[in-house]
Amino acid sequence: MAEVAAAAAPPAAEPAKRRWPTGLILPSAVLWPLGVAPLVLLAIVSLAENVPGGSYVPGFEATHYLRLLEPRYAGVLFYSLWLSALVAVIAVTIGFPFTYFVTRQPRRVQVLWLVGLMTVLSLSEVLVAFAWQVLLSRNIGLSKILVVVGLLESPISLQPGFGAVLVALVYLVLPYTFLLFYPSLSRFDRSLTEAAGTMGAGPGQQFLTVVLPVMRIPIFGSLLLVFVYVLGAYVTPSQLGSPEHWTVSVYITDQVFTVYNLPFASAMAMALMVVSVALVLLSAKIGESKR
Amino acid sequence: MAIDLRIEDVEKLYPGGVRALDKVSLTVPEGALVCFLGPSGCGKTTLLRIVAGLEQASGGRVLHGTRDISQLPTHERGFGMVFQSLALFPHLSVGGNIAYALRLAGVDRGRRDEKVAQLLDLIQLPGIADRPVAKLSGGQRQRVAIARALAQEPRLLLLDEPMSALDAKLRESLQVELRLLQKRLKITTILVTHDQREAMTMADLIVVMNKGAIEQIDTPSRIYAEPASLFVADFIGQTNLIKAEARDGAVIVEGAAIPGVALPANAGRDVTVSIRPESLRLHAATAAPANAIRLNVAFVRNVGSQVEVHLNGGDLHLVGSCSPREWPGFSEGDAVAAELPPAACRVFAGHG
Amino acid sequence: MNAVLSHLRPWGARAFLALVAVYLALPILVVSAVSFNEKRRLVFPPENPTFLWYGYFLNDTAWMNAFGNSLVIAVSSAFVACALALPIAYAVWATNSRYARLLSLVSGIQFMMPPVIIAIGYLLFWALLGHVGKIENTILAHGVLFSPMPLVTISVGLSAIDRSLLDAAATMGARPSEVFRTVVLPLVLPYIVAGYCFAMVLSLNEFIVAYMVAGFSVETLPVKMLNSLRGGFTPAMAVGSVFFLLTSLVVFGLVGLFGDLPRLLGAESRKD
Repeated sequence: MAEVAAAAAPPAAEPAKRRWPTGLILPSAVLWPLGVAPLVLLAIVSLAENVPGGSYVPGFEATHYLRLLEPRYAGVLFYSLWLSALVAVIAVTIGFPFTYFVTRQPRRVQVLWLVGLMTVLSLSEVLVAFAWQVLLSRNIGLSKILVVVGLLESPISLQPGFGAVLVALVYLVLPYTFLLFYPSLSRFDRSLTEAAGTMGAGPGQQFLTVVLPVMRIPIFGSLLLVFVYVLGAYVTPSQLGSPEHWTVSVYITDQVFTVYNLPFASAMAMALMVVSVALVLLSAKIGESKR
Repeated sequence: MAIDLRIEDVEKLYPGGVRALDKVSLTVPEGALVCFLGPSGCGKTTLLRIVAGLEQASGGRVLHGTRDISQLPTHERGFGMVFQSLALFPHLSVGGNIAYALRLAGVDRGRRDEKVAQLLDLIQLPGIADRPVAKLSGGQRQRVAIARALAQEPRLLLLDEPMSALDAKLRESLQVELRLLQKRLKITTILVTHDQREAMTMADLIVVMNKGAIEQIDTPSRIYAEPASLFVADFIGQTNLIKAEARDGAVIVEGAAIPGVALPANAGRDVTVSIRPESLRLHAATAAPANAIRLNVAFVRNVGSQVEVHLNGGDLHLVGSCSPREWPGFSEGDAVAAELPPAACRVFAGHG
Repeated sequence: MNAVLSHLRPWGARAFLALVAVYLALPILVVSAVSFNEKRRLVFPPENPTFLWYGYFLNDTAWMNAFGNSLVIAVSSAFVACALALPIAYAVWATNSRYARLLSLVSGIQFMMPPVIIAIGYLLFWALLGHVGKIENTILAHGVLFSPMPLVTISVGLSAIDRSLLDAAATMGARPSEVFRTVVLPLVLPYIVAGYCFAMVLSLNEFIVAYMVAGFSVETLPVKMLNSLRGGFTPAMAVGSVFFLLTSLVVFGLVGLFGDLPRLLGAESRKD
């Protein structure tokens, strides 16, 4: 570790600025070809002519983009956006008060929460989808409990279905919303709520009349980022949903591995990229306007 | 020949046209402690950082002896520096901090340890070499920072408000201690501070700076007794600034003529008289001399070591002070007369 | 709503936190529990709990191969991520150079969009170069994809360094390279390690990029899990999940134990 760091260290420099590019050679050599070139290639291929069987001929045609406008794919895109928005709203509605309460805990307790949340956050989407599949299946988990409680007569499978997709997606992004709110909420000036307290506001009123309004900008920014995160979910909708619950990410993968239409997959990816980057930039803009 | 530090016409311009230093020239004599004193933003720290090589001057040069060091990078200057934040390395022990320069210079371990022990003795903190710096008290950290700056036996010691983080009592005793150490080692030193008491305590010469320029360079006692400008008079110590008129070689204050006051060459009709509180002479109104100003006592503050009296009369507000033993015992509301001894008055052109 | 929340006393907050904790823990607990099943069919609660499938997992070449691939990719890609992030973060901090900020944006872009886009980009890229299905493709892809993690942690660490420490080192004769080696690096090392850990765990769990870049020849654990998931549940998959869980828990637990996790995630420094 230390050796790498030393190797990557900036060389001695009198005026540090002049000699800097040497220290940035390695990152430049990796990031330009691997961070940018694939995305440029994606744009090029999205305009290429499809050769059935997973190949393409470079060209300049808009067919794949026009195809995106067909009701079938436009519908998928619309459904993906709607699902992402729904998940984002639910996750933020739970995640915001959740984060607020965690930041009010003593620092040691917070560390425990953070370890748990980072662990859940890092879990592979495959694992999360698998876990919910198990939990929602007929023989195991929830439906059995519901039978015992008397809410169900006999165990049923709760997946695949829209509810299963929704529950698992919220699960996937909840730790993420926590991570987005944690910095601003943990730095939240407590004297504001205390001042509200001296003026007669109870804890709930403090939350509604002080914390929420002060935090409205981070909340909106987080909604957008969670939205983008959900747009990228692939395994969850494909494993926990029926085809009518598939999102655009599933269709993109389907085009690559089942239909072998790379240019069309690229065009879909480009559309997804434009939407995502626009929303991320919008959220960054909102975050800046706060200052 | 003595190795003085000479600063010649040093300028510092920041992008946007801000002039932090405006053609500053001064000499730091070898072995002396020179203090840059001024309010925040006067350019004193910038000038020190230019001497240290941490900032580049926009113009002018810095000479060490006869050598122009303006272009020399910091690490080749060999000047020891104590920073406002002290800048002790948190990842190194006390010994590691002090030996840092020696380790870079390739001094072997045995000699390093010897030097560290010697310096710890010098700052009267023997045997703490292995302690982490986070475990030190404020005063100890201060001393370690000084020992660290001395380790490379610097030709010049630079102190950037080194005691601003300490409480008043500790600061005062460390000022004396540091001054004695500096005299003993005969090390040329520049001290930057905004605390005039610190400057008066420690300096051989004080450089009073304001808005990027030097107002006065003088010994502490002369800076106090004979301020060269209205700014210096106001900034150093406490003073009464009285708007007055110059007429026929005398100064007229509130209708009272004070003859025999030295007028500056450029004085017009409007002048400002500066007089220290302790120079005001107070009399009962009934026994007022001819050239006294009539005032009323507004407030008396007895802080034990001295008595301070606030006086009001028309638009005039004056502060006088004396030792408790000399206090005539006026009380609030009394009518008094304040006499301005001509020798204690400094007169400056204009109404400030 | 207002009236309801007014009655939210600390126990209300606690109950809410407990509910979220159950929601977050339930799937994990169930998966961990079914890993102790005896039969191939998954039952909950497991009948005759046994470590049988752990033995199966550890002796199955396909699973162990996937596990090894994942480990190699995670360890080396986190290394790549740090090697990319450290010079960029340092340049931004030390000189605020525009080019360095541009590079950090290029790194950050990877995190801004759905990974499926990046994945297809790589698929096309390596196909064009005729260098398909190699493990180094996945390593580089993950290195770039997760470089924002160490970039963030190292930047946090650098921002905590009092710049007068650098000036102090210079006045004591340290050249810029020595300042970096003797002051900056020791102070920022914990943050490099934390960034390495984050990048490693994320790489271990990443699916779609690993799948598209080299999924057919270099099967990672998530890829192998999804492939077998399509053929139905087996307790071996639950065992694989438990391995993941433990790795993440241990890594973040260690960071939490030895590092200042709250500060790394954006809280203010501990006051003591």
